[in-house]
Amino acid sequence: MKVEVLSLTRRFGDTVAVDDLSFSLSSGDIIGFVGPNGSGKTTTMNMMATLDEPDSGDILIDGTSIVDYPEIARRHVGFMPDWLPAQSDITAHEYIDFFARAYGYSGDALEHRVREVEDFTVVTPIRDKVLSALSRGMKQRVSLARAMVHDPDVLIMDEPANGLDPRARIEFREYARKLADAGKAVFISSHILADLNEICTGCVIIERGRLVKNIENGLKGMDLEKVFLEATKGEVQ
Amino acid sequence: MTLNPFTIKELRQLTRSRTIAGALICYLFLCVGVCYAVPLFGLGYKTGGDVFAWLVIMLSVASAIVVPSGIFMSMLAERRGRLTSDMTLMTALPPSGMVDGKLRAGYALIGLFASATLPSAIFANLMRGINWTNMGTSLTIALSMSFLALHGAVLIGAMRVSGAVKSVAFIVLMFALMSMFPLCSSPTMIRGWDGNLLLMIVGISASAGLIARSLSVFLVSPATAERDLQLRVTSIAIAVAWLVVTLTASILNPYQSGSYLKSFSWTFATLAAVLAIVATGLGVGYSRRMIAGFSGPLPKRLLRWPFSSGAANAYTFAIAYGCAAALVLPLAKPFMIALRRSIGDDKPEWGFYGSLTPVTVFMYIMSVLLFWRAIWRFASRFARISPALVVFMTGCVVALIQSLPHLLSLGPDMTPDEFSRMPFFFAGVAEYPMRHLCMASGALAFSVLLNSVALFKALKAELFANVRRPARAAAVAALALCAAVLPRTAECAPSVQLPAMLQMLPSMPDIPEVPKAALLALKESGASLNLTLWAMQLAVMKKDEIAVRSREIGNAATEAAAAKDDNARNAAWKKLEAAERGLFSMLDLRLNGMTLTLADKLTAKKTYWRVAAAEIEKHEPSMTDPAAKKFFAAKKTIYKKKASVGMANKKAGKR
Repeated sequence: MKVEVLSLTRRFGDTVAVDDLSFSLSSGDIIGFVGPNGSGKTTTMNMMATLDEPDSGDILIDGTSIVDYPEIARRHVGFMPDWLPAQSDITAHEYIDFFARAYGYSGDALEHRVREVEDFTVVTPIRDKVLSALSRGMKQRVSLARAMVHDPDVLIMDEPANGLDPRARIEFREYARKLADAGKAVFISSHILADLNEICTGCVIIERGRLVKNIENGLKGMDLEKVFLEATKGEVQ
Repeated sequence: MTLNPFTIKELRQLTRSRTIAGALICYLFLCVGVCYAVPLFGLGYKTGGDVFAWLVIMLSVASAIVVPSGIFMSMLAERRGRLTSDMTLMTALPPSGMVDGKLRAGYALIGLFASATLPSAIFANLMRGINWTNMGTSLTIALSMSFLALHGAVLIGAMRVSGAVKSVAFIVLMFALMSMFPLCSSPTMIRGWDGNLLLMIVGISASAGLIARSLSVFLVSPATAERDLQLRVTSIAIAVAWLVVTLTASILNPYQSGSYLKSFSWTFATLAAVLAIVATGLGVGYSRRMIAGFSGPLPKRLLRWPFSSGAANAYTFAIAYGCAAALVLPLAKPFMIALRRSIGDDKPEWGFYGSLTPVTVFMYIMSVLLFWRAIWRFASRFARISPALVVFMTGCVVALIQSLPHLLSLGPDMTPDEFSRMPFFFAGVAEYPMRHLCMASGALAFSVLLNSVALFKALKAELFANVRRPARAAAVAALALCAAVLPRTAECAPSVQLPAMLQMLPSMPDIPEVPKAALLALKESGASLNLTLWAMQLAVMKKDEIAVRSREIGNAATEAAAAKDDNARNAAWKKLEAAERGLFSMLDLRLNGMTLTLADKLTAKKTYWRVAAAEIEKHEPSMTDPAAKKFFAAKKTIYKKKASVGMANKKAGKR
């Protein structure tokens, strides 16, 4: 499985949110996506998740264009945004069940798959609690369960560790490793560079919508904070 | 069979909702309560009809207000950009899945309320006064309105404006639909039969509801859902189905064919305005897709002009669509002429005004848009008032102004039927539904403008830049402004001819079924132009019905005069009163789009009673039987009293 982002551009009126961005990731990769606030990370992730359409450029998943065939691409992509929808009156189990049905699961396969992701993300103890009663960390686990319920090949996580306590952050690093070991391509954006340093096999740094650094051959021995600071001094690759 | 996940989610939430459970329990108690309470006001041979009238009003409120409100709130919770709908659109579920899921949950709830009504409805049937056919007709109309309300709620919930603005638009929609409630419980439905009206309501509700569904699917579709758009197929299917309904209704009732076809054009012109309003709130890509969804893939050079912005897209599309809707009437003219000739009408009236109706409606809507823009600027920049509050208060004022004549004309001689409809007149009920649709369209336009002031600037800039001839742009703007000050629609054009016709009255030949004296009395009593025109048209077009009722009244009066004793006279008088009620039920009819206010109806009845009292007075000297003389004197007194009560309110009640 290979994901290729090719010359992606997105404008909002006069503002260029993403400007000619290109990078790629493959199965087993954990790619960090780093940039200052307002640099276009969420916009890029939304386009990769088929929630938005680029003004130019394309995103290919194993050669299939997301722009031309979004419905095919959606089967391979799981997206975990940096927020959890405020559906306060349904339980965690019902929430995951809803998305499993939306992805076409039914009958025994539905029950089996929902249990599987609940066990993986340790949602089982809280499955009967309503979402509004869950802590931030629990909500993130439910969000991850929802994102992977259809067994996607690519997981896009937008700041999954945002607001989590240290234990929860460690748990999420473990989830990312397990998913990569299972052959998924994981694409994580985060402001916590230490976490990315721990787990990422590559890193894409952007500023003002433009690519400033693309590290493809692993981060071993690198201090991501230093790399980020140098890259965002204004030097464009 | 796999159930829609949204339907499952909604039903799960509803079963846990205390509000829904409480509403259902209260509703059940109310149904039983109505069955016991109504007979307390008088048990007769038609009490079942009165009970059923109340039940159907309650069902209308539950299924056309309560359920759509719940689904609307649910749609608000799914709002785009931050919540579940984005995640759902990433799944294998198409955008139509979300819309259909919400709608099906709504249908289930409506079905729940309808089934809760059935036991009481059966009890009403057992009490006599209503048969199964009339029950089915009333329920069909109520459920058609619910269908329309539910689809409208989903559409407004799907719009990409703020929640506050959507809420205001939803309230306007509810006010507009409340005007239809009395139809379900009117004598025409409970004790009569009007198949054409039923056909029209079902057809229009179904078409409008399906159009709303298509628009909702379009609005919830993300940017990348080009393949999910099936607007063209759906819209053509709906248009064809509705045209078939309209033409069928025209064939069944040729006298009304003009108004049916005008309604067809009206609503498509309004739809064009609504589509334009929706498109102005969207980006270039959406507008282009929407238009391509109707017309097919666009040539590349057209992609630049006039579709360079959402505003330009919308304006161009709406004008083109509105003009196309205007063509329906001229194209249908040969058909209408053939229909009218088939019923012996050799000189059907058809003027330039009729063809212009949808264009003037469309221009009226666009002028509402400009008008509200000015109001918004004043409110937000000078008066520092929230524009949403201005919209809401204006809606309340409009409703109050419309209902004030009804409130002032109420009197102690109100019939139970009028009394039962009284609460709904607070919403400006019994007015032409299209006017409410125009108001709703205006509110929608306003809500979009609230969301993006730049859109209006873009609209103006595109108009001048692309049209390139300021004179033409000025002409369009002038037309729009004139539409705002002209009579409401071209249907008022006949009233321009009315004064000349009224002057011709003394020299007009007698219309045997309606005494000229009655028409002159109407005119002299200062009745509104609407009422007098109605009376004349009624005389010409419903002459058979009037002849039947008049003959019954005359025969019953003769029978009463020839009766040997009071029992026979009373029996004859009961027949006369029944025939009078039949005559008055025609006051509820619409003729060529004329709508009568309650004040007009009361004026017409009072005129009738005055004429009837005068007729008794004329024949009194020739009565020899003292018992009969006493009997008719008492009846004359009753008629004079009915004619005089509320006459002081006549001026206030006139429109």
